Amino acid sequence: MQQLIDASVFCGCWPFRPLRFRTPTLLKERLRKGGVSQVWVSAVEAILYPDPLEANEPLFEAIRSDDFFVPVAITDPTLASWREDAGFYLEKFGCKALKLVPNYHGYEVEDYCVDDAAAFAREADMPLCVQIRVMDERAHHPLMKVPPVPAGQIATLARRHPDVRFLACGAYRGDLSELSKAPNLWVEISLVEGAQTIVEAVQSMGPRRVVFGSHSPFLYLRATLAKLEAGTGEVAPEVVEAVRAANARELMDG
Amino acid sequence: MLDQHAAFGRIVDMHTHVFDSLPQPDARVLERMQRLARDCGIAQTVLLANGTGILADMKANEALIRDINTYTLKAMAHRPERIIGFCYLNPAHSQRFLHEELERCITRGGMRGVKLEAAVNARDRRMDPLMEMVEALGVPIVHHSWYKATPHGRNESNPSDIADLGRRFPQVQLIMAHLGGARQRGILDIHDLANVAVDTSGSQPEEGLVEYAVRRLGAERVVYGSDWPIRDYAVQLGRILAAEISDRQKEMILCGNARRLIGLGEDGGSCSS
Repeated sequence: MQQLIDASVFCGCWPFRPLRFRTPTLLKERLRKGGVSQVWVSAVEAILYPDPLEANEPLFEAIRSDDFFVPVAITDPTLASWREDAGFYLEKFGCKALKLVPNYHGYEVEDYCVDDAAAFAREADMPLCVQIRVMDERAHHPLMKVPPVPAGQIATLARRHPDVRFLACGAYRGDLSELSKAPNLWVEISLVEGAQTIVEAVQSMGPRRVVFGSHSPFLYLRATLAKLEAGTGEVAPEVVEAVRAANARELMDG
Repeated sequence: MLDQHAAFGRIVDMHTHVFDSLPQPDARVLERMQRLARDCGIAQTVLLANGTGILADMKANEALIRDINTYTLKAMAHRPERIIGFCYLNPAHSQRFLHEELERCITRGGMRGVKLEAAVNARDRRMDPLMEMVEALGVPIVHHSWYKATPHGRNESNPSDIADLGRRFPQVQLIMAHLGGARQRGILDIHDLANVAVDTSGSQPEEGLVEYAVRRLGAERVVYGSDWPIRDYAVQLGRILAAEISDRQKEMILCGNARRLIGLGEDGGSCSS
């Protein structure tokens, strides 16, 4: 079977809508059935809990002995404990990447704490993921409207840290022109959509900086997978193949 | 994977646009639209309007409306077996103009319905003369709709506005655009209105939403639409194929309902041509 790495998956409960595939077991069953061979998974509750560790640790414990899951720790670099906790995720659970959610955690990508997180990622030789949005802003709860992280700020951050590998998660097609400006910045395509999604993503980002992401369990996996199956037209099959797995491996391993 | 469904090759997409110059179509634009549709098993696309005209002026003047519809008529002539046109209108225009345009586009031109965007809110009584004309013609209306937490257009309709219109004109078949914008609240707004269906376009393919619509409305009131080229045919089809509903219900959503609603054949929801 062809390798398929899903670089953007969450696990857990989200207060604004029911998520059917919210446990590692349900998620794995669903993603395996769709042909996914590895997922980079984060605890969705870590976006809203006061201390992300209280969501990260139980998830990482639950998936500890399962190679299907690659743990990605949601980290809030404004918290006093973040370095210590990030080290703990690495040492105890073999965490492979950090993920920032600046808009939900109340800081800007331009803040110094993000440079500290980038420095940590460089030292650990791991990617630093930045979540632009979790859901369509038009569908947010009226009492909790969270603007997206500006794509241009992520590109600027990446250019400021050329020896760190970055992954932008939850980008829209309209974000790609900004994100393409940093050569050390990859994009996962879960929320990228256009007339020919994969063609437009590859034309913007180049053939090596586009990785597959499903944003499961928020979206139908089969719908996001369809981006790799139809309308690929002008993109060479080997490029589509690289989007399925090789680009993600390069992002992860450097 | 897309070609594994029984409806492949017979699917009707109820919600498409193009972005092209007006009023003369660029054949390459239409051919790309149809090539990508065909690759996804879509047999016919409902062209609601050239989006260039809508973006140029949401409250398009009569000349621009004419150009938008002339474009659609030419697109239909270019690919009559694949492109089904809808007549784009602004209800605020004079009754004389609305009547003339309906006559030109539907009665003589062969378009199969009317598309309304956001020039006039669905609750606005300026809708009434146009609704009476459409009722007399017996064609459906696809009406834009969205519940937005972000700022919305001054006259933009939300699903409760569509429900109000549906109640006032129970003999007119409405297709509320954008399930992804209506979401649960919008589905509940129209749940008791048999003359209001919803198209599945809008936003990302949120897991579980198609099942929700089928549960609350019945599969016969849900119809596939992509909103191409803003969205990707394959992704928007994927949300139907992925939904945990029966194959029969998928077939109704992918083609049978559309065929019934736009008068391509009364076949009880199947996709036979």
